[in-house]
Amino acid sequence: MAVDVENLNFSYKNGFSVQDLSLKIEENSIYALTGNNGSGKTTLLKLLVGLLKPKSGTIKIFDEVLTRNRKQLWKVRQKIGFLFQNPDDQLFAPTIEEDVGFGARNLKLEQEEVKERVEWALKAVNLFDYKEYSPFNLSWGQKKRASLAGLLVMNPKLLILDEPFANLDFKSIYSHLEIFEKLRKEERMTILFTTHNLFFVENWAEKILVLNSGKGIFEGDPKEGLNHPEVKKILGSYDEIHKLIQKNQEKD
Amino acid sequence: METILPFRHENEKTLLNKVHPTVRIILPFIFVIPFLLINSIYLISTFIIITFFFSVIARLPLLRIISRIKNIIPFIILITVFIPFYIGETIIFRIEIGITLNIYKEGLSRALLLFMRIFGATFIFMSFFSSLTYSEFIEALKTMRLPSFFVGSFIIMLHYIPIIASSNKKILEAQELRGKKITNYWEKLKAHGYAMGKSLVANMERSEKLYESLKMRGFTGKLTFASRKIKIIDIMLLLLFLFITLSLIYFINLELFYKGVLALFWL
Repeated sequence: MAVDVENLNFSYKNGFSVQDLSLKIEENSIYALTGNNGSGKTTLLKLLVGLLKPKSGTIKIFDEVLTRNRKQLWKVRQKIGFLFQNPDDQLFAPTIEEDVGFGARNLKLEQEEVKERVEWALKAVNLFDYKEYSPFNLSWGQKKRASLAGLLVMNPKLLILDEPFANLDFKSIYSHLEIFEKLRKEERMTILFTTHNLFFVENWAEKILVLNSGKGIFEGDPKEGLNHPEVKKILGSYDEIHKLIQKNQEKD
Repeated sequence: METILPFRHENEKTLLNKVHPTVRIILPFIFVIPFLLINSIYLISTFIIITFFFSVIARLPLLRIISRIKNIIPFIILITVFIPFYIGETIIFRIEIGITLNIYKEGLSRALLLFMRIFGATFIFMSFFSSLTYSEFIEALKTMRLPSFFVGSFIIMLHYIPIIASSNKKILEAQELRGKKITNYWEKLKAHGYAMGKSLVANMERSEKLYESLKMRGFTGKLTFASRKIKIIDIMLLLLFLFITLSLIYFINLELFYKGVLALFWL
C-alpha cells in the first residue's frame, strides 16, 4: 500500500478540523481527492507529508509509519514528491537547473549523479533547453513542469499533486497528463492529486475520496462517487450547470 | 513573463556576456566610489558619459535603463530640491511669498552635485547590472564569498519582488476597473503603497509555503550554488577600468577640458 491512513484527526486553532479520516491508496494507482473550497484537501495533503502534526490516528507511507522524528520524516519524504499548486511557492533558485538539482544535492549524492538526475528530470518534463533560464522567464505551464522536475530528481515513489491542472490551457493539460502517465507507467509512481475539476475525477482517477468540512463522505469508484446523492448535493454537477444555462437561454 | 528586476534575459546578447559576473559587479564600483569621495561635477559627468558610450558599444539595453531611471528622478529631486534654501551664504535669488525664501549659491551647487552623484551612481550601476542575468548576479555574490545565509536570504527576497510587483499591478488594475482614477505620479505612488501593504500580508503566507516546499526537498538552512572561475581577461578588464579612473583623477584636468569644449561651442 502506498498510503494507509487510519482514523486521522487534526484541528486548526480557528476551529476547522479533519475528523476521523481513513483512506488507502494502492501502489501505482491514481487517486483523486476532491471537495469544495475549504473542505480540507490541502490540510490532508500536508498531514500526509508531515508538514502538519495530527492529533491522533496513523499515517503509513509505503508501510512506514510517519512520526515526528526528523530522520525518519526525511526518510519518508524522500519517497514523496509534493507539487504545490502555485509553482512560485516552489521555484526559488537563480536557474531552473539549480532549482531542479536542489533536492538531489540534499540527498548528498555525487555531483555526477546529481547532474545525471537533473538532466533526466528536465528531459522528462521537456524543459532541458530551458535549464539555464531563470524561473522569472518561464510561462506558468513551464514553471509547473520545472517544479515537477525538482521533485523527480529525488526519485519519489509517490507524487502528491495539489491542483495540478489549475490555470493551465488545454495543450498544457495534455502535456502534463502525458508526463504524469509516463511517470506512472515507466517509473511505477503512485499519483495522489486534488482537484475541483470533475472531468479529471471521473476520467483520470481510479479511486476518489470526497471531502466535506474535514470529513470523508465517499471513498471508492469515481463514477459511483459522482452519482452518490450526498456527493452530488455537495459538489454539484455539470448537469445542474447545463440545466441553468439552458433555462436562461430559453427565457431569452 | 515580464520581469521588473534589472537583469538581462538569458537570450539577450551583450558584449559583456563573456566577462565574469563578479567583474561586472566590481566595474561600476570603480567608477562610482571616486566620484562619491571627490567633489567634482566634471568627474561625475565624465563617468556618466563614458558609461553611456560603453553601454552603446557593449550593446547594453540603454533605452530600458533610461526608462527605469526616469522613475527614480522624482525621488532624487525630492532629496535635493530643498538644499539651496538652507545651505550657504551667497544669495543669488530671493522669493517673496509672505515669507522670504533665499536661494544660496553654495546650496545650489551642493544640490546639483548631490543630484548628479545619485543620478550617476544609479545610471552606472543599472548599466552594468543590466548585462547580468539573475543567475550570474547570484553567482557573483557567491564568488565574493558573502555568507551563504546572506545570499540565501537575498535570493528569496529577489524571488518575491516580481511576484509582489505583479500582484500590486493586478490590485491597481482591479481598482481602476472599479472607477478609481489615478491621474498623477503621486497618486500612483500612494495607490502602490496601499496595494503593497496588502500584497506583503498575502506574501507572508506565500513565504511559508516556499519554506514548506524547501523542507520537503531536504532544506536544512543552507543553500548551495555552483560558480565558475575568474580568467586573466577579466582581471585585465578590471585593470583597464582602474587605469581610466586613475587617469581621470590624477592626470587629466577635467575642468579645463570641459571649459575648453564649452568655449568651442559658445564661440
